[in-house]
Amino acid sequence: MSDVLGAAIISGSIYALISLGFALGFRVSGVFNLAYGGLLVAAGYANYAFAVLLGLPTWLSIPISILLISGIGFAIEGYGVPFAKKVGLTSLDIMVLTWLLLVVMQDLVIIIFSSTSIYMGSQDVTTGLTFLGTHITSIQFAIMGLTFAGASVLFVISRFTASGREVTAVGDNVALATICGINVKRVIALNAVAASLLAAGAGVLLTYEDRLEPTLGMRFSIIAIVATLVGIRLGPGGAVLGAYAFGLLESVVLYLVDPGLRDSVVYFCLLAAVTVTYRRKLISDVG
Amino acid sequence: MLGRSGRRHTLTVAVTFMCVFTLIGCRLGSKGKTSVNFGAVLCLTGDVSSWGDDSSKGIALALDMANRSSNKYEFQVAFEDSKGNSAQAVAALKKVVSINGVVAVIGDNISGPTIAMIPTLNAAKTTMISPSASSPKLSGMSRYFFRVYPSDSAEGAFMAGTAVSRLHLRRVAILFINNDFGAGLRDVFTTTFTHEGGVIPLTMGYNENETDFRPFLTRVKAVHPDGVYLAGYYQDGGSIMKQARELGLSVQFLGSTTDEDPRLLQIAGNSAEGFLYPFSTGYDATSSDPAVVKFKQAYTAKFGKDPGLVTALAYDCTNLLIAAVETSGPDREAIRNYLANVKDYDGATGQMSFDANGDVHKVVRLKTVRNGQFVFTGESDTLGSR
Repeated sequence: MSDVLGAAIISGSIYALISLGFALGFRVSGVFNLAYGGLLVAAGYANYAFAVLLGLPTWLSIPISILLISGIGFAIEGYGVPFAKKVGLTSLDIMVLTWLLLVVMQDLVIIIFSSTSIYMGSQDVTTGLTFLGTHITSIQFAIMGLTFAGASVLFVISRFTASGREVTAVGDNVALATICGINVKRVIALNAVAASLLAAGAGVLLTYEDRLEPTLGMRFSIIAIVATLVGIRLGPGGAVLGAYAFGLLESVVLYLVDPGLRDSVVYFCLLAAVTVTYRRKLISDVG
Repeated sequence: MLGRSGRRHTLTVAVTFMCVFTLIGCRLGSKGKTSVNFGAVLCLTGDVSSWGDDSSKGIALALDMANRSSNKYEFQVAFEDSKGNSAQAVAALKKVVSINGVVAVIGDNISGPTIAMIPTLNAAKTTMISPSASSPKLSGMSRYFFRVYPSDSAEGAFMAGTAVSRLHLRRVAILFINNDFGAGLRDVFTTTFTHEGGVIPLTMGYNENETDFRPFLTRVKAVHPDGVYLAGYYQDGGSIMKQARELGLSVQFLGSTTDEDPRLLQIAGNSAEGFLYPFSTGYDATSSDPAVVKFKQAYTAKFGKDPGLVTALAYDCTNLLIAAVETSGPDREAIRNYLANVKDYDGATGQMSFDANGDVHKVVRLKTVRNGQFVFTGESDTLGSR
């Protein structure tokens, strides 16, 4: 059982890392921005291109990749999504558009890198440190630490600072926030910057933990949606809790039933999370 | 001035001349040589696009060399992308057969799309030769299908026999990729291993886009096997061995020829040390065989780097088709009959013959990873031929 718990901790940490940026963007826009999965993949491959293909040192390739890809993320979240809302597109319309962006980003990566899997981690593979009866590697500990730190910072900012309360206000009701004198454009822009930096950083870090494939973007986006919806009441940092809950459920199912069912578990959790979160709206719509 | 009927007559003559000259232009290539078209349906994009890319280079090289040496024929190839998808492969095959008018086809790189193309191949009575499709299902499926990559049935049986008799492994778990390739290897390994007294305590399939194998390895760990047989592709093998080491799972990993790719070593790092797999495709880059040396030198001169296994396999496929055309002429049935009678052909991937099922016969040798390199376990490990 300790191995299952260990698998849940490792998976949950990685899912939390994937979800933080998405959750932050979702808190303000209320849109499932599926392009985040593409940003994660693009950031990982950008770092690979700069470090391996162009030979830049890691200390330079990582910040360049994060800045480059978060710039694209900022353009989507900070300008694209608000503009789409302004012209009257619904959240569903915008989600479909972001899905198209995800497909374009993945296809671009495939065209440029020929579907090559990338892994930037150490060639010296060692057994992880024993923790709660399982083995966790140093990079996995780093991911855990970063996600906990990220979640804590987001929680503190959203609950105890004026900026956090502004983000909450804009996320809850843009019109009311404007009337109250909040600079909505500034809040959206700053939030988009933070969300994009988190997504790009996560993408780069993932390539040091495990193999990255160009086609994983959609799975990343769905994981982020599930984690965000599970922890939605706790704010953006709640996505971390949601990610661990999802990781635990997945590990138990995969261990007890069949590990080959991963995709089914992911989609079942998506269905369950959407149904539970939007049950009132669903019931009223059916009614 | 010409009347309406006169203008129509002139137009008819002009169109006829254009058609005749176009046909002559197609049939007679440069320097009066007859043009011969081959088709190549390969995974140029998708999960195994590196195989498609490598194959296209091997084909281009073989055609380049043949066009320089042949006085009679100008060989050309129409490349089509199957994307590793069955429907795309069938559409691509139909296109090259009906529109490009090819006399033979090279393809596909993986088994699923290759199997899907067989009915179209039979209907068109066109020979196809695959560089790397290995599913046992393809054996004898069509009189028009040949391959220079050995069937998994031979490779899986060899690895199972080695596991029992040489490595003395009694309990081996199997992790296989959920497609024709993985399932084929799984079945053959299971049958041979259990027949020789071994036990398979666990068999699990994973999806093609899987990267996190920890849930699988957690279950493998629980059944305490002596070894794990990996029936999948190199990137999966790399991830599995790396994650197994991280989880503290220390067993003998066994694999297949497809695992010999530098990217397996990039992903697995030192956790791949001691990994064993059968090498049945015959390409030995260190060989001093004239056919291998000629291929390596020509490839390096053209592309500026060393060739890989799939490139050599595609190069041999193309050269076999070229030999068939040079010997029997650019006739679809004659090409098929030539290949069916190939015995001890000396190619870049070793000496080969085809049996009645279109399967190639080559020597199988055992390889391992030592000091970060794929190496033969020793000359004495040349364990037999099929």
